[in-house]
Amino acid sequence: MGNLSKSSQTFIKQNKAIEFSCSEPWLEQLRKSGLENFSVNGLPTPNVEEWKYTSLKVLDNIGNGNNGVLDVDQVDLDWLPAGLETHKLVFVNGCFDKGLSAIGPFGEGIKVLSLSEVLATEPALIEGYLGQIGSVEDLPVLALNTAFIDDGLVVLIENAILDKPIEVVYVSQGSGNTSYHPRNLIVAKNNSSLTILERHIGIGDDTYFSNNVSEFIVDGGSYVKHYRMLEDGSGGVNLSTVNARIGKDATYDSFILSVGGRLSRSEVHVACQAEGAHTNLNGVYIACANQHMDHTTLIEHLVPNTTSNESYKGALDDKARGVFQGSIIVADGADGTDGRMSNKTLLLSDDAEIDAKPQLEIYADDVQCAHGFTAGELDEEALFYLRSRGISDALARSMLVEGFLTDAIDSGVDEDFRGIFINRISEWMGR
Amino acid sequence: MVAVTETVDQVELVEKYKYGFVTDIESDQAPKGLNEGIIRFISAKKEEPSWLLDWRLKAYAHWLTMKEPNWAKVGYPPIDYQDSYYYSAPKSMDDGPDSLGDVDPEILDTYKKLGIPLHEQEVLAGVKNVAVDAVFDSVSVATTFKEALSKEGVIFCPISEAVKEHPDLVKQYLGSVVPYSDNYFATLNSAVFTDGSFVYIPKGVNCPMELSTYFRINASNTGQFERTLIIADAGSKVSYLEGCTAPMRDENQLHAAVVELVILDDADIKYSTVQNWYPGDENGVGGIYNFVTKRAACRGRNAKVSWTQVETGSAITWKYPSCILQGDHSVGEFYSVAITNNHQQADTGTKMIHLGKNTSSKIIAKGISAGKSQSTYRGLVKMMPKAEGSRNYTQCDSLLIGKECGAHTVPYIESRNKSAKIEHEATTSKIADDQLFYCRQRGISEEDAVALIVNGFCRDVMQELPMEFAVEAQKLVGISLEGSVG
Amino acid sequence: MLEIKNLHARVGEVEILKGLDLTIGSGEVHAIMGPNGAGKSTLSYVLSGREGYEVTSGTVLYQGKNLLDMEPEKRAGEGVFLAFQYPVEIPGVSTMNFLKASVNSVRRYRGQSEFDAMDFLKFVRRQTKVLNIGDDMLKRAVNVGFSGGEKKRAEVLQMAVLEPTLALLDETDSGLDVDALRIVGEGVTALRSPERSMLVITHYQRLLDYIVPDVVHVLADGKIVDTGDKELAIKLEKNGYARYAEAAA
Repeated sequence: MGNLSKSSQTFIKQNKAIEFSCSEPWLEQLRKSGLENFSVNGLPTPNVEEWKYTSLKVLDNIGNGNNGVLDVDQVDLDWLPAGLETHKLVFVNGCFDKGLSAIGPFGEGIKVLSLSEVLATEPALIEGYLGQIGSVEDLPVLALNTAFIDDGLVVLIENAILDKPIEVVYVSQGSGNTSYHPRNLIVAKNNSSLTILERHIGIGDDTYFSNNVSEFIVDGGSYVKHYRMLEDGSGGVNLSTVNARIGKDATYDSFILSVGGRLSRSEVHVACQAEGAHTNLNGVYIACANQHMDHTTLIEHLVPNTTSNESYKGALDDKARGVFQGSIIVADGADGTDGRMSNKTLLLSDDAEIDAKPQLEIYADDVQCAHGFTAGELDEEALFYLRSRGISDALARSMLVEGFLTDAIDSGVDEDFRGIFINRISEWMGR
Repeated sequence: MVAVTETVDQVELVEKYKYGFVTDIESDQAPKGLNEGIIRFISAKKEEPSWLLDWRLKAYAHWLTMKEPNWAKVGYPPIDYQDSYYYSAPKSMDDGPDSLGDVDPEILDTYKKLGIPLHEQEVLAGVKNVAVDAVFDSVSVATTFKEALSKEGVIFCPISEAVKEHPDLVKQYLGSVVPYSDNYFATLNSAVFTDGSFVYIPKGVNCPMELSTYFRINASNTGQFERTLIIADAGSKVSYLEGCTAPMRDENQLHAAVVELVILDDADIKYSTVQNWYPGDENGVGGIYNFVTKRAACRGRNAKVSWTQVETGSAITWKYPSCILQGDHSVGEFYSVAITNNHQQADTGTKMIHLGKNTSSKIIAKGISAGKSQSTYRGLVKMMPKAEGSRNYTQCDSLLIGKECGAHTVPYIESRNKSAKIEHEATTSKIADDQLFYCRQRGISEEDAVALIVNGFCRDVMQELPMEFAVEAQKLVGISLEGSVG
Repeated sequence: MLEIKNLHARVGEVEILKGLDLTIGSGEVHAIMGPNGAGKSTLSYVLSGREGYEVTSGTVLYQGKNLLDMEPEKRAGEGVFLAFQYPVEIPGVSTMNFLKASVNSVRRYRGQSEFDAMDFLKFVRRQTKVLNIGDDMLKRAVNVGFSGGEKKRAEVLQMAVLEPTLALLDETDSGLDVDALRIVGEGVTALRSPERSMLVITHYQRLLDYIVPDVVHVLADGKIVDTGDKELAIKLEKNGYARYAEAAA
């Protein structure tokens, strides 16, 4: 432990001091395995290959306070356009806030509630699912989260179609260097279908650390659409890990818009485990000032005839730094895999930087895999064309940037949700 | 001093790897193992000045503090660096031959069998003259056309000779591109390198013929550590070819070479390699560990370097011929074909470091994996803040033949300049059944059809090779893939 | 020459040829016509040895040898040529190289001397003139970016240079306009000879205006259900295949 960073040591100490309300043996065991694995190396440093481009030095002085104080008036929780109804769950500094939430009623086969509630009432409901995906040995950040499992979102759905999207809002305020570790579990079985809209929003400029993990089990012809919008406050550090396991003829379809925070890393691991499994991973990142945004993905094609499609686009201004690491692994015998990956970044300033590592690791021969990457400025020819029609240079540039980004929204976002993402991009353009 | 005599006992295998024979000559070897004494021995053998011995010892001291790298996607048992000979020279070379007439006829015969012309009147069929430096184990045994070249001011000689004849040039440039502390294998090379080629092309000279070095490992339990240094002065141009073969042996032999290229204003170096070291047998026994550091520094404006490599041999290949594009408007190119079969492993690619304005680079990499082999493309494209208006285009394609092999792509792309433009594409696929059937329906055997289709797949790289190498390389593609189908 | 007896073949679990009998004499041109799904293309793939087409019973003797035992390239060496309905694209391999590799492989098989580059060029040029194929097409990669007509002309060129004794033409007319059809038809007709048999597989009669068959067969539901002379083809064009489909069902 002597060579662990100060923050890592703080986390370990505080974890040992906490008395969790739910102390089921299986859960205690799970938390313990998280803590033990985290204690080996602590938070990752850039010496670890997967963290080569993202340093967590900003967390050096983070504490483990979690006071849950929030000035609710400062955030607009009714931000969705009229007509877009949701089941809303609000988490304040990681703790479920019943008063701000509004959910249900739900039909047969559907359970949507907070993890704290499940643990207090029916922990057996999730015993066979929680902590089943993702390796705490390989992912230190997941291990840290696992050590602190206490609250988050639980969705269990079987043979049912959810009437309205689930809206999950994480509101953070950084007084006292808050850090918290929400854990979400979503299980969709037997031809179920649901949409989740996850929003991370922060108040003020203070540092806080949100280390959130979601587990998705999507099985038997089910379909899950997962939208995320990262709008953390300017001191926010958001490490967001998604582990998804996709079964027969099931689909996990995700879209992320990263716009806020001091540093964010969205790490998505998807395992296609049965024939017909499919995943789409799409995203847009827009960063300015000294923001750092990392999108790391790993798609594993483990059996024959699974498919994936991945596309991330970004625009980086000022001194912003973008990171894209994408891996496609095709296991021995996974014939008939079709995997596509694309990453395109516009650099809008002389000081912006993009670092990318799009990897293919292939052990089966009957596959089609490809990745493409581009980085650079706007297309001069297009710029000239617009200007030759009388549009000013500045407007032409912003039209092209916006066009470049909203193009990704058109392909990755369903019609009902396009407006909220496009508005957010427009706001950023006009900042 | 140990006299080594060996015979080939696996005659039936010679058909598959036709360079697998052993030349039966007496060798002059340093004792096995690696220590300061061995380094002093090599330096003394070469009658080196003290600055070079000091440099070697500094490298050795540094090497002792280093760890063998493990980030490449290759696996091999630990190398016992004490169980190898670091110096082996044909005994007949003791006094240094003054002319070809003095070279051991056995060695001349070796090169004849390999198809390498060492007599100046011999030429490769249908090709203009090629000057050859023949490196046999640790020493250069012959360099042809030296006189014709010296009329143009071109220096082409063994590096050990350059140390004596052109000490200022060597001192100025040796280690200036790959410093002695660069990486584990380059540092080892700096300590124990024995020979290699030295080329200097003076200002404004377009080298009148192709230069080539032919590397041959003959002795057993011997590492080959050659060092090549090429300097293209302002406005000059040269095309340099490199070929390599080794006998078939059950043990793994280490080849840790360093190649440094220095390119000044408006100069142009084209460096082509056909690497056909012994790959080991079909069970993965034996073969060369080819751990090589190659780097070009485009120091001048409009400097240009082009690496072309066809990698078919070696048990393990670990090499990343790189370009440091420092001069404004300088150009770096990397064309690569890496074919692995049976138990071969290749982890190869390039680094393009863009420092100057309007620099451009192009990477075309084709990997073919068959049998139980693993092939990885690993590359870095880096645009530094001052690389205004620079460009990179990368295309890496992998082809898998069979169910037990793997093909991997690990590119690193880092851009810190908005006006720099990077485009990267990669694909992985297999030979389509209908392509194969179509060829077979036309009477082409399955193996020939695979070779034909693979050559088509590699065409963008093959056409970059000088003519005499291209033909050889195309044949090699077929030979390397033998037994991969059916 | 070619003797097919009671041929049964399937693709996966589905039986497609269900007892086909066919005998073609030396120098004869036979046409096989039939509705879609009758097994026409299957027959051409079985004869040329494509993987995935499993012969469950029956025999195919070609010049007294058992064709079914041979690898595809061996069959080509023996003189079997298939003009593909959909010629395959092979990026990066020039047509000229492909032709040379193919011709020399077949010649080697037949015990003939191989061509060197110059002789081969002369040899090919004799044929390209007839088929209106320019040198630039030979330089392009095999079938890549070729128009429908170019692809089919390239197929006929291959047939000319490989000098087969049995040519199987699978829907060679598909995707061709009238002019292209004429060029291809005349090209094929020019290759008729007493030593060369042909099996022309087609859905429509129009190709047979150019390649006049000695015998016409109707293939329906995996069997030859009718045989006649070229008048049969004309009748079929008029009346369609409905009658055979009912008979087979």
